[in-house]
Amino acid sequence: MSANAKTSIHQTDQALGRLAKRKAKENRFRYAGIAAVVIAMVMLGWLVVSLVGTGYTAFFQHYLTITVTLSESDLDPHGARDADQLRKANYRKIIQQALYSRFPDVTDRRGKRSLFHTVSASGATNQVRQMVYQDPDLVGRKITITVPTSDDVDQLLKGHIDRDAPEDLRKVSDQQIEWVDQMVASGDLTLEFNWRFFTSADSRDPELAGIAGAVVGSIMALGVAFMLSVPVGVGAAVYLEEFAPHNRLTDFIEININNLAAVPSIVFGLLGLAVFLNFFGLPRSAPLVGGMVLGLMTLPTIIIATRSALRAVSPSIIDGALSLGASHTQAVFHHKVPLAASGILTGSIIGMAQALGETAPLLMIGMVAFVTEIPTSVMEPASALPVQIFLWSDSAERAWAERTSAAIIVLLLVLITMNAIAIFLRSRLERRW
Amino acid sequence: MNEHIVSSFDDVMSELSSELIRMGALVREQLIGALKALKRRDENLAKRIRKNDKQVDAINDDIEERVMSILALRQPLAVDLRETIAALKIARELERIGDLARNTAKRSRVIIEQEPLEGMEEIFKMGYVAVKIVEDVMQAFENHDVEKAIEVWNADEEIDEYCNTVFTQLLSGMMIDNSNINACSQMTFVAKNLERVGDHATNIAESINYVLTGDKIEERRPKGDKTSSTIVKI
Amino acid sequence: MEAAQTNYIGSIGLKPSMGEVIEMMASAPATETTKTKFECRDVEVFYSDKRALHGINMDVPDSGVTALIGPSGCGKSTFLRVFNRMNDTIPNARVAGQILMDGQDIYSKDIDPVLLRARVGMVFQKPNPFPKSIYDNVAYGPRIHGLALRKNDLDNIVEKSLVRAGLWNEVKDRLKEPGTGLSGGQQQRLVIARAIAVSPEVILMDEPASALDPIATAKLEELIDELKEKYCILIVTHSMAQAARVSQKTAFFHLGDLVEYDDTQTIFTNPKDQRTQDYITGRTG
Repeated sequence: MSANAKTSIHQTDQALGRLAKRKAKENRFRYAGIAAVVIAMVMLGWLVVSLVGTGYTAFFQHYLTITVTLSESDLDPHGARDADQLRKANYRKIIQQALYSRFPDVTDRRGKRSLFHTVSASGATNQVRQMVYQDPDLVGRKITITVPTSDDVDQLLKGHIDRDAPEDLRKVSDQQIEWVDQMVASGDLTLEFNWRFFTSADSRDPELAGIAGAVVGSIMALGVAFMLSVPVGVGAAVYLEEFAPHNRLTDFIEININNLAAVPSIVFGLLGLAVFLNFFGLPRSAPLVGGMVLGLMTLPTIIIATRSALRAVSPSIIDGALSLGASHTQAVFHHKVPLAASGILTGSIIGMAQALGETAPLLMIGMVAFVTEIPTSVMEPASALPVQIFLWSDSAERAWAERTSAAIIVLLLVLITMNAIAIFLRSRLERRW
Repeated sequence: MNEHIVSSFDDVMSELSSELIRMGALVREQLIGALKALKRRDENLAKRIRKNDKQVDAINDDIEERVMSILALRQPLAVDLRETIAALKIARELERIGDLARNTAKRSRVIIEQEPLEGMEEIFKMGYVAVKIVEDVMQAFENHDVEKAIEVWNADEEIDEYCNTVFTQLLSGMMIDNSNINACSQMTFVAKNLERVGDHATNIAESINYVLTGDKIEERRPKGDKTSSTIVKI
Repeated sequence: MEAAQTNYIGSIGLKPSMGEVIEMMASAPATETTKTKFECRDVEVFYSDKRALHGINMDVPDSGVTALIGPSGCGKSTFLRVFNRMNDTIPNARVAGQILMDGQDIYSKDIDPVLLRARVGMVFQKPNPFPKSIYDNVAYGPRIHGLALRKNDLDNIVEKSLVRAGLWNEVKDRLKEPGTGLSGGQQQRLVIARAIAVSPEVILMDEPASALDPIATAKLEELIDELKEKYCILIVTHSMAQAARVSQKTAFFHLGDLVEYDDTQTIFTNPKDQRTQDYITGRTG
């Protein structure tokens, strides 16, 4: 190398040219990277915006406040307050009468029917029935209740039905629009938070449908999957990584575990159908079976994550333990597994999140059923969040669209929460060690 | 001997030994010069020899500095360590020989002022042997020649014998003619100086042997100097 | 030490010979070793079919520090790991020959490597404290071996070990803090304290100072110097200066052979084998 800086080959014009070229190359790469990130962010933003844009309205619902007369002659002609009678009574009529008295100038049958269609028929009748059933003393009195409007009215008020469209092209008649506007003007028709969406199960009527059944079903299935796949997966991984002899058999098992992770999830559904339902005779549509299938599906993910977490533990720690006279088992369980815990946990939670979003295997074992009850045990039929979304997305009414989006938002929030828990636990575990 | 992986270490070591060889050559010149001045009764030469000793000292200082830097910067081990320490020791011995040459030159002034002594051939023969021994030991050093070093080590006996003879002669000389006492007593110191040169050369030979073999010379060194117990009777 | 000094002073009045000068400059003189801790007879180590050590015969003294030096891949670390059977943990590693510890073959069937490793501690190249508190690091060994029944006893062991490792004053106020938060040199001393806590007879050190700065290295060497009174120490090091400073015996390994084994002073002033000479003087061999 030349001692004289002036003659250095790194200071010539060619060298500067080469440097400029190199820098340009690096810059091009950086811009490409930024572009990729921007594109990804735009797409993600688009997804979120469109989901929230279509979905947020589902969290609010229009309710109509009406005064109903619970006449004894309609509900309990015998005056016995018999529970059976109270349940069977014609509440529909009561609601209808309340509405007719609100708009006395409606007299023709068509007009009456279309007036009745402004409220959620089954929602209103069920609500009154429930109240009377629980408090039979209400019979004979006049009460004011708030009932959900029909989905069409709700959509109209949310602006999803175009008022300017020709009458025969929209689901709401001009007359209905007029009534609705009157009710809004009188303050009887209000927009409120849609608690029902979070507290009730599926329904035929969009204004009554909620995700609670699906959420509970998902939680149960995930619980089963977690209890099945984490102990088995972690145990298998620790054994394979630390204690299993290295021979053809274990190599074969390892290859198959890796392959299993890539098997399409519907295959696991078929497996569940064949083994759990047909062979063991477990109930269809049950979260237990769903959880077992999801657990099987997550198993390879957890095994692979656990093994790589174990492998990432510095061997010097194990050497240190062994050199103090710890046995291999002690070294593994005192040091390696605790150190790998955060990795194992992350893997498990990511596996669980995957399972949460899984639809295909659940379709195979019947968790796609229409279930209007919130399940109370893992043996009862239930739905799951992604399946619920799948079902709703298939329905025709305009109101399902916003509910589908809202359910997706909930699913995403649950996923984000799970990942946040994973991150939190990981940082907690790492701080402790 | 293989070369060091760090070649500059080799350079430093070979510079150190060439410096030593240069010093050996200079010391030999000094010794020859001192003897010449004595023999030719050349006071100017004697003065020059005295002055030249500063050069010997300068080289000695230089070698000390080099050794210090090698120890500090290179941390020599095994043969390198032996060589470095030996260089320090050899330089010290050479410096002493240089001092002895200067001392001889100094004493020659008094001797020159006096009447010339008769029968001093023995002391010059002795001087010749001393010069030869210095020459040989430095040659052994230069050529890494263990045998030659041991030869020198044994040759010291010869000087000692010369010394005994010269000492007896000088004592007799002083007894016969006490006007010679001034010159003769200086001359005994010269003889002793030459004897010491032999001793120093022997030390150098020992160092060379240690560097090259890693062992000390186990036998007892031949001691031929009996001047300490010499009594001359008339 | 004292005897040697008097000797030296005694002879300085005469002419100090070359050897004596070097003796003064070299490390502390060899201590008298009476007993043998390990006798190695034709020790060979194979990795699969590759022979990493070729029939090593060597006696390791009961006290003092024995250094193993040699170029990378010469087998010195492999040899070190023979003494606590750490090679057992490497798949396909096989040890042949005999290593007698106090006359008993440590590779015989009735020796459990777990108990052997309690008797023969080890310190590694990279400080490897457990990611636990300082206290738990030191207490781990006594806990797994059940050496302390009461908390009090354990506290005593921990304190004593930390004191002996020269770390007590630096950490006594933060025993609950993680051991990984200490500096490199402190970590290495913590690891030594951890090893001492199980009361071993031998401490193996595999390049213990290679990741430390000179001050930490000096402290470690000082510690080794103190520990050698009580423990038989074997140390692998790449630093010849370190071997010279801390050890009394030095073994030079080359390509799986034990080339030369002698007093440290002899190895570093007057090695007998040309390969040793070339290695320690930094020559191409």
